[in-house]
Amino acid sequence: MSQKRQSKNNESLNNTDLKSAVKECVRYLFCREGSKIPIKRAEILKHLQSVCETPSNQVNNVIIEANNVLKAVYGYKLIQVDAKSGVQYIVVLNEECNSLHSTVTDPQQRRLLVAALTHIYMSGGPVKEDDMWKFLAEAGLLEENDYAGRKLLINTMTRQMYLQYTKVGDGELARNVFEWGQRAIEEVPKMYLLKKMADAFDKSPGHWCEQYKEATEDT
Amino acid sequence: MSSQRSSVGSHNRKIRYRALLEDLSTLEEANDEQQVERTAGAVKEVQSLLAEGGVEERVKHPGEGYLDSRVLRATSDLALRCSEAVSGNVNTYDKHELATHIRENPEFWELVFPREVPVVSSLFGTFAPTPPEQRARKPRKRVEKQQTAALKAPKTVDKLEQTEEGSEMVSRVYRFISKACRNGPLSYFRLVLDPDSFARTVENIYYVSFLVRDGMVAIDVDEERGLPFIKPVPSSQREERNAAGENQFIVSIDMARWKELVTAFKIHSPMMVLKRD
Repeated sequence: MSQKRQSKNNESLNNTDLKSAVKECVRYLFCREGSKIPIKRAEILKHLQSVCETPSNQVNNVIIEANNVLKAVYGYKLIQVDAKSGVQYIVVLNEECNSLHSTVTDPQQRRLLVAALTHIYMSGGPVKEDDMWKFLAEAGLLEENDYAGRKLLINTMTRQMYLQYTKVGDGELARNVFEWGQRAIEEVPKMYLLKKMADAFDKSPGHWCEQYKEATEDT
Repeated sequence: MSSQRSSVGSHNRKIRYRALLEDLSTLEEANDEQQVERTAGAVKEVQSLLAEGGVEERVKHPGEGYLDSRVLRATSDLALRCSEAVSGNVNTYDKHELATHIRENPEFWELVFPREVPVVSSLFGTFAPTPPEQRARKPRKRVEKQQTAALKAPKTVDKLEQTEEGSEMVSRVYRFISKACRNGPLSYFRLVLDPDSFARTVENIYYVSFLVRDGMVAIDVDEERGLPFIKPVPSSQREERNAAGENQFIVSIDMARWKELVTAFKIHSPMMVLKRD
């Protein structure tokens, strides 16, 4: 009899433990998300273990629960990304939303990113590095030989998973190409960009039929 | 003769392969139509090269096969890219038009993505981003080091230049003997005995023994008189004597014997008067 009560006690204790772990997990994801750098599952695990002593077999449940809280309270959504170094998460909005311009993001960088993503999408495939630099220079966003600026695309935006920077071919024919990263795919509906294009050039989105087809498949 | 011809042919073919590869790697810059044409041309030329060689030659020169495969690979890469470009060309996207628009309307392209999490910033902000106070570093305690005592170590001797004290005396004795023996061998006892000092006698015997060991002097027993006589050995004979192993003799002397000998030889003054340190 007494044993039964004990085990029941343990269970309820576990429940309060788990609840606080979920809260901690939400807090952690909320704080980490701002950098846009993917959050590794291992990092969440480490944090929860050190702060709440969450057993590692419970971590998946905690993350699922935390995702529910993020969705309900903030309208966020966790996206799982399987990388070579293990499972990672990025945080995006659950629904499309017309957010305000952030005062924190550097407008120059944002233009650079939008231009790069639009150019890749409109080109209909991976864009060669050299082609990208030429385009950005023509758009007045990046000087021809601004290597520090190039690093922004090659390193930062690639890490944030807006862009993907990969090498194709080998030997003398090897080239680096840019593609959309996972985060861009999640955050930017193609139709949204196409409508912006239509606005800019006073055309209907259907004017670019290939891209229009892709955008409609996307949604 | 034929094999020579074949290797020359193979060499020429390899050069042509390399030229093709070189050509293909610069093709990137050309426009699409040219790319397609030149790629096709390269494939044709490779085919003719392959036909020229024949199976047997290819076996003999595997390098050709390697280059052939590389050309093939490059051309297929290019073909892939061309086809990609073609499907891209169908669309009406003009990147120059877009670039110009971006240049002229930068604000228009400052977009916020629909599913992007808006950046959260706290109403009251963070703490003022002043750098942390620089705390003066505690100066490190200086520990006065004790002067280490000079290391005791045996003197390293590069060359045995310093002759030992004893050997100096030995060479003096040798010089004396060789001078004294100009007129023939000397009586050993007359030479070593010092009537005034037993110690010096022992010392003399000691020095002479070294000379004998080194074969510098010889002591022979005179047949007529039955007494040992000493004489220096010229350097030319030393080897011989050494080889014969005759470089030992034993002398025992004590106080009583010394006195006996001194009286027997009627020695009143020492023969060997040496500068002693």
